[in-house]
Amino acid sequence: MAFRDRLYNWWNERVDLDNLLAFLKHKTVPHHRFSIWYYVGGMCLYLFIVQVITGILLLLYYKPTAEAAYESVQYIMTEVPFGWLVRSIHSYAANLFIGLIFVHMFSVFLMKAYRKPRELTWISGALLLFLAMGFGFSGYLLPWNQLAYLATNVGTNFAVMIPGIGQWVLEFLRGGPEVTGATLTRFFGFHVAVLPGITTAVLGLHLLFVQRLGMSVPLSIEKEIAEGKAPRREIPFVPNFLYRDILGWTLALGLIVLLSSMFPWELGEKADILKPAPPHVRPEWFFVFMYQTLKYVPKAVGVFGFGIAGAVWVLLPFFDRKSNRGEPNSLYTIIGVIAVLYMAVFTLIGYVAPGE
Amino acid sequence: MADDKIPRRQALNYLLGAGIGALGIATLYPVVSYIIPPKATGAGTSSVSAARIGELKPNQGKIFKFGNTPGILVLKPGGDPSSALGYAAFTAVCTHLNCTVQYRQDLKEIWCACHNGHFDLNGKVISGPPPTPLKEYRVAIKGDEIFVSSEEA
Amino acid sequence: MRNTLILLIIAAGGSTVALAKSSSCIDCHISSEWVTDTTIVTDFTSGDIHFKMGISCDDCHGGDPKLGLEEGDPDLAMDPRKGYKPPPSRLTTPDFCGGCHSNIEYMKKYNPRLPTDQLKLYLTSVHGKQLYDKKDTKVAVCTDCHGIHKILPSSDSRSLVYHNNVPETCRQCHGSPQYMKGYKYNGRQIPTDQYDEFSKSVHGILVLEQGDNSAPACNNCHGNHGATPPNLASVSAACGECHAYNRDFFNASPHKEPWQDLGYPECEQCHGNHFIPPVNDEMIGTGESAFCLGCHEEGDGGFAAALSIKAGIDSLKQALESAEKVVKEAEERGVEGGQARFDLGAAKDNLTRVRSVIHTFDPQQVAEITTSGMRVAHQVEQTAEAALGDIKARQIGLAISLIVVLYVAIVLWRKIKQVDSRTDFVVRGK
Repeated sequence: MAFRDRLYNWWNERVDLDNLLAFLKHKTVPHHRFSIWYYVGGMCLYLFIVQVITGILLLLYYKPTAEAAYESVQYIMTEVPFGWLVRSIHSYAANLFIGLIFVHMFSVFLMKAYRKPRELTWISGALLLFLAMGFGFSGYLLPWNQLAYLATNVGTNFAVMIPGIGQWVLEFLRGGPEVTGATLTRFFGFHVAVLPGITTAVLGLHLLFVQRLGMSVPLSIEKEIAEGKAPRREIPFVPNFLYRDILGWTLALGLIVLLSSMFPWELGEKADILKPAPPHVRPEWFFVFMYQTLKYVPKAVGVFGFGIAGAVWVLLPFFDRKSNRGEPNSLYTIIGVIAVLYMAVFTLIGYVAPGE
Repeated sequence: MADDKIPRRQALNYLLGAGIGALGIATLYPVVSYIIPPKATGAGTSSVSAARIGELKPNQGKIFKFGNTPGILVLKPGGDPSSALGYAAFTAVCTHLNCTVQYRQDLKEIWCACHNGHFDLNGKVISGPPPTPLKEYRVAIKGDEIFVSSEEA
Repeated sequence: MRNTLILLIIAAGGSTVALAKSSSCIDCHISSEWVTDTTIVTDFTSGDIHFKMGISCDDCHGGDPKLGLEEGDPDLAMDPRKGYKPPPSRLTTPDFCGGCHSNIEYMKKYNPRLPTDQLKLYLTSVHGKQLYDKKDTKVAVCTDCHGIHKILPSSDSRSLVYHNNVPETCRQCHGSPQYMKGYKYNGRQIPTDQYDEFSKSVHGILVLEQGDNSAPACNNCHGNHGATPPNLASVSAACGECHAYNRDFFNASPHKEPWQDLGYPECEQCHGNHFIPPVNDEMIGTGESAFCLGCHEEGDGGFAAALSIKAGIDSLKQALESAEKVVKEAEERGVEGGQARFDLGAAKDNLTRVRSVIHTFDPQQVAEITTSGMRVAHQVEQTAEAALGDIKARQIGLAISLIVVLYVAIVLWRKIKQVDSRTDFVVRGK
């Protein structure tokens, strides 16, 4: 018997590979004019893995204390072979990751893929969004440069707005009343241990649900098929869909490497706690729409509002009864479009508008 | 017809395999280079190997690199080269206008050539324009290497 | 009630008063029942250095401090037969103070390190000569600067002669045009703007605003007891107290003797005396604000020297700037870790040093320093450029990996087409 077959049998007798392979062999993915959006989720997963790998590599040299963090990143950028590449990939992939999460979320929303029976997939996905933003927020501070220090200061300040426990939450996040080296160490702990642990669990659930339930088909397509206007099309997961996935991942890798080599990620200046803050302090781009909004409404109202909006967003499947019944719901489509436009416009304003 | 397609399929598979293999190597090479620790003296400027025992004679000084700035290590006159107490180490950046200081064997003092500032072997200003003493570093001996660190004793 | 109050006052000053011998002088003069001005005693007992040393009223004024209070008769205390003398007039003040302060054996008992030449020096000063020769009592005598009954040591920051307070003390007379009217030096009215000029100068800002007592006050250059204007031969000596290298370079330079002959006041000629502005590189050379053109003109040796010196400094600055740019770019691009910056520091030292060396006014000595600095700067620039060149290597590596990526993408695309072609997407029977 060929070695390959012997190897297969050894594993098969222990973990029932036959079952797994049969599942994969028969798994298909719906194929229609909107199915291009199906690749976005897989791209997010791929980028998450890229982050884990580059993150582990960075961990080999990074030092999570205020005295050494900046210097250790400088060391990685200048002394470690390809350190500049690993770090820049980590930074670019992080931003691409969060950007694509938003794309994934809105494409799912607009296609109403959250409707029954996929409510839990949506909820776990919403949680993954918050976890990803947590990754972004905690990771941003780690180089301990002036920009990050200020952004963290501004960002964590909003915690006091939470009614009742606000001050406690602020001090919990910061490791004290102010942003200090203690904050850095704490954020490091969140970034490399707490968040990855929780994310692994939630991501596992999310993927489990996706595998069990398969891909959702938009109601308009279902209607076309039902009316006989178009046949139902599906492509095998292995190898057709998977090859397409891999093509996307390969091109994404190429893009990230291109950006990292042409425009290595900046280091900036070391954080100086005593230096007065310049006027234009901004959190990272995916928080800017919130930050900008909070300049126009009273802070307490704004924070409260975002809290409510976030909760509603997570529980959306339970509000959209019409989609659950299989009926089109243009109201929710409009809400989705407005949400996208609102985030995009306010992010733009946040960058273009003159300072406070 | 099927016969025609199968070698073509195989050819494409080989090409794909080769491509993925090349990609794998192109990925693995930087990762492996990254993981192998570089020879430089470590990240962070808190501790540096300044010299070896025997490199300096008593009443002799040496400029070494401490992070991005110069430091000065002196084996004191009559100092024991194998004991940390025999050495004195300071930043070599003069507190006046940042020139690099040097050790004067005739004066047994640290001296700045720019404006004639004199420091004693405690880093204190003896004469000249420097306004504040030289920041002192801690000396520790490990094996036959003399380590200088900026951590508080 | 009033007596209790007096007793309390005495008790409050108890710790210091207890040190002194009990003294009818103090006991009477502290009470407004006997005198109108009690500040003399409160001043004296609250920090005067003589009082602290155990020297009391009778040690200067004579008389008998054991008598007078109980008897209610001041003449018993202020008794000429017991040595009492009325307070000295301005004319006799220096001799009065000098009676103790010039007595070496006496002073050794209190402070062996205190100088005892103040009176001698004072006699050589303008103040002393005016007082003794011309009987001019407008000039400063001991008490004007040191105070009368509350004399603090000059190390005490409240003292009128504490280093940082000296300019203000001198200004009391020298800053008043009315007071100084009629006093001439070298035939010209003595100006009264010295304090104002000094307060704008680099020294003045350090002393008056930053409280830095390592910068000079009036007495550092003019002397204190033997105060005179520093004249020609001693201007460079006065400045050279601190600016030693510049003094040495200047004294060896071709300017020293000619300027002496011309009566130019050495350092002051270019730097001013009371108003000394911050220096800059434009002061030397042949540019608009250069001092050299005040005497030198095109064609003479000095002009050529000035030109060459300024050119050397400018070239060094340029080399440093250009190296700094490349190093910064290399650091930002992540190809340079600190060795270049470390080396560049040595070249920057040369720029600091050359600004002293120009006082030799010798193009050759200046060139030695500027050229070696430029050499280092160029070397550093080259090293940094080489490091930036590594980016070329990176970009080649990038190009190769992108080619591989594109190759894989294209092959995958073909593969996708291939597997699609043998698959039927349409689902039948569902």
